Amino acid sequence: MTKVLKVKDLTIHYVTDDAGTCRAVNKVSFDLKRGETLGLVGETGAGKTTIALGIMRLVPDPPGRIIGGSIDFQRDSLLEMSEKRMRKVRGKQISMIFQDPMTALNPIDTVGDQIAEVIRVQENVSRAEANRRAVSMLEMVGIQGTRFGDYPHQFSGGMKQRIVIAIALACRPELLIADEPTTALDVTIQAQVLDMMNNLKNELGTSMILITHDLGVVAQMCEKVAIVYAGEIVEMGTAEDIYDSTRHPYTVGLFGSLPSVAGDAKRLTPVPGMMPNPADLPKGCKFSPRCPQKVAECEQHEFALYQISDTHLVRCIHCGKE
Amino acid sequence: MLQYVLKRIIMSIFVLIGVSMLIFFLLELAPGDPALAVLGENASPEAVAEFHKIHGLDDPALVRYARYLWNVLHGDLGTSYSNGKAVAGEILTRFPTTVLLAFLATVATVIIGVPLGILTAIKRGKWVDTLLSATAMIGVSMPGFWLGLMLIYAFSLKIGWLPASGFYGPVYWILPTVTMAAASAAAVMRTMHSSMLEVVRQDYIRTARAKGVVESRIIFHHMLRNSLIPVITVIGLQISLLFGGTMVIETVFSIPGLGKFLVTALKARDYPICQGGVLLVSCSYSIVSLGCDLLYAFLDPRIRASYQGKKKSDRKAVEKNGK
Amino acid sequence: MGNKNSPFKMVWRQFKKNRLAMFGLGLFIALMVVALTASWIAPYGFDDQDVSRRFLSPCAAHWFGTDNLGRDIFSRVLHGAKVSMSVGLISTAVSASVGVVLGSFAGYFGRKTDNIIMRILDVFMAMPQFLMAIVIAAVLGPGLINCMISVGVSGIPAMARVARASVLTQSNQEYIEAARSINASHFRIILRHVLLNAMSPILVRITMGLAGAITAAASLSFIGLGIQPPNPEWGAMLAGGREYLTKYPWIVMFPGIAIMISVFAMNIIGDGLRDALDPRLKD
Repeated sequence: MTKVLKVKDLTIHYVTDDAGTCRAVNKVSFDLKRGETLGLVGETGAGKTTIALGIMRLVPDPPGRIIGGSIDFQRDSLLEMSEKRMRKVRGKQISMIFQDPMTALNPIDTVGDQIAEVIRVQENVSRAEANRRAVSMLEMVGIQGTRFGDYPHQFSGGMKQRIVIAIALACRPELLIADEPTTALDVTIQAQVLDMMNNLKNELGTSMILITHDLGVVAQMCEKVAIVYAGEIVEMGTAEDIYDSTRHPYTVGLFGSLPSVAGDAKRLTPVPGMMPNPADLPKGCKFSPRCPQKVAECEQHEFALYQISDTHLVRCIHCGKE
Repeated sequence: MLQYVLKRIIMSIFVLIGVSMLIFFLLELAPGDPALAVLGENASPEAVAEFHKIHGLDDPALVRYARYLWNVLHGDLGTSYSNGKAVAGEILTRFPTTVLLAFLATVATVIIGVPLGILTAIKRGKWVDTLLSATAMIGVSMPGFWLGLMLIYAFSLKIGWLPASGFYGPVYWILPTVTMAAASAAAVMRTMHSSMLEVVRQDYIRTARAKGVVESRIIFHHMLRNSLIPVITVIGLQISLLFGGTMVIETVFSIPGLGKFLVTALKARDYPICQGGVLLVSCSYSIVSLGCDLLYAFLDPRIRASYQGKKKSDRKAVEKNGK
Repeated sequence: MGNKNSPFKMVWRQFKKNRLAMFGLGLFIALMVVALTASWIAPYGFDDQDVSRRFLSPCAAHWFGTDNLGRDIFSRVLHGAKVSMSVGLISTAVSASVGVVLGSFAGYFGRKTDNIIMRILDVFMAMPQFLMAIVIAAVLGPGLINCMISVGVSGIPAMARVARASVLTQSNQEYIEAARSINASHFRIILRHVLLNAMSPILVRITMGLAGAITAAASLSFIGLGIQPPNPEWGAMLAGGREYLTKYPWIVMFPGIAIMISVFAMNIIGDGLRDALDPRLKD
């Protein structure tokens, strides 16, 4: 199967005057195959969104800067492309949807126009044709085509997010990056939206990077999972690898902190401590301050990802010895 | 929408009646007899009595106000104390000059302020921004009458390119307009700048970039129209200041407009002229205010919807279509 | 409130970072000092006439030159600071005290109180602010106190409007609801935060209002309705020097620059205050 996306050693820093250099993403590498969904899982502040923005080359500069690594999409290097060429990629070959649907749409344009805009910008079609396709996109996401001329404020949060998805998929991109697309929605709507995304993905053959902190969503949607901590991937594998053969202490802690209806736990068991300040990362393994399995060496060296099976990689001293 | 406009017009009429009441009774409070102010301190008691009779000053205040209001609603604004001519005629002949001045100043304000505000927002932090923003700060701080006098000194008395007074043709319009527009344009520029900076942070701009939209369209289609809304508020406010400012500027440039006329009338205690003039200016300003509110509706569909009271029907539509 | 992180100290720290705003504050303090010490530091009195030394252009003995009555303009400008500052401060105090009370009542009590107050304000706001000041000044007559009253009263509606909007915004915030659902003593702490948040747009408006008041007073005096000669009010000085503009422009130039500097100082303090009070840190 061909690889759609190859990210290698991607490093992104935010350089500020008063807060120092924030090392948001450190040598992140992963691949994505056609039609595959990769889940990027981690706490808030782990760097997942920054990775996504890096792929889209939408990292705000200043203060952010991609200082190393490579991103290969199909046969092109995204980081070496001109901005003009990159604009042809965004929205057409790679689309991104963001977390908060309430503010993602321009309040003074009709929703139909906003969908038609991406079609007109990326493809050489007439205005009428773009509008026709926009109407069919609306229908595809479950909104009546007659609502083409309505404004964002006339829709609920769930419907707005569907419109955002319609915009993202209007030009049939090869890759969709979804940054916590359902976090701002309530659970019933979340299920609907995820279902819809899955169907569209299967219908259109889109590859997807799904960023989330919700392990339940990951189980539902992703074939491949990468756990992100302090700007690094600490564990990556198929969903089975991660869920059934959890190896990294952080991942173990994540699963352990999930509340369970079965069983009779009286208190929740969160992972103790907090994620380190990206401007002030600890020496050695970034998770070591909080790790229950820490040994002296953990604080001295950083570790690379070790391949413990065909599909499963872990960044931990306890998994590296072969 | 029509309903909204009609409602606003009716409310404005009530407000203007309130204004006429306010001015009337405010002028009542002024010490001294207007007859003496007009006829002179040494006027004979007979002349004073005659004056009172002509202008109906012997009746109690409420009666006089009621009579005044009745007359106004029939188009009669009274007669001037100074020369006995009809107030309506006196102020309406001078009003167009003031309107022209205010209009030119408003146009100059918008033409200079809006583009420069956009420019300084795009080039934020660069020398263009620093230079223009500093100039704007100084512009906003300059008292209009002083700027007018300095401009007269420089361009009229020293270089002789432009006339120092009067309002007889386009070349006479330049200095007064520049004087009035300087502070206004600076204020509009600053508001446009901060509004654009506010908009550039918004998520929907990020969405547009993620669509691959070119930067120029992002600026003009997405950022500009959203930024204009608070700017219109400021333009409306500036127009109010401009109306007030005409009174001073017309004095500086000896322009025969309503502003200068009103100042003279106020000093001379020519009450009917004062009342009529204030009423006319307030009326004009209400029209401008309504225009600004309609402009909001034109730009922002959310405001348009609230004017049309559509909120209930929108909620029903959402419920019907399901979430 | 000796807490290092009290809201006032935080705002002050943020304000201090803004060099331009600190410069404005420095200017303002300098102006206040000049206003208070004018009688001592000015080389001449404000009405020391010497007809033999009329119309001298700026020179060593008279830094700003002399006017048509031989008075030293530099001294007059210094004395004028006292007049302008006092008119500005007192009239703004009048606008602010009445306006904030009215506006807060309207915003806080809502319903009928709000309606009544808003209708009255609508009438006042239908007239351009300066026009109102001129009318009141014409009614009361010229003079320092009357000038303060005219400018002060004409500024009430704008202040009330800002106060009302600010109080309304705060009343609708969720943390007020949260406060109501917990202990009363907590409520008092939150009240302090409410006031600080509600006050911030008001404080900014007050500094801008001060700038406007100084200009309005000068404008009134310029057209003869405010402060009269020989009082060295800057606007009145401009009016007096107008007829000599062609040959002796410095009589008009320097008082105007003084007005400009004062207003400029107020404006940048206002800007700095607004930025310092903005909870979203600037990027």
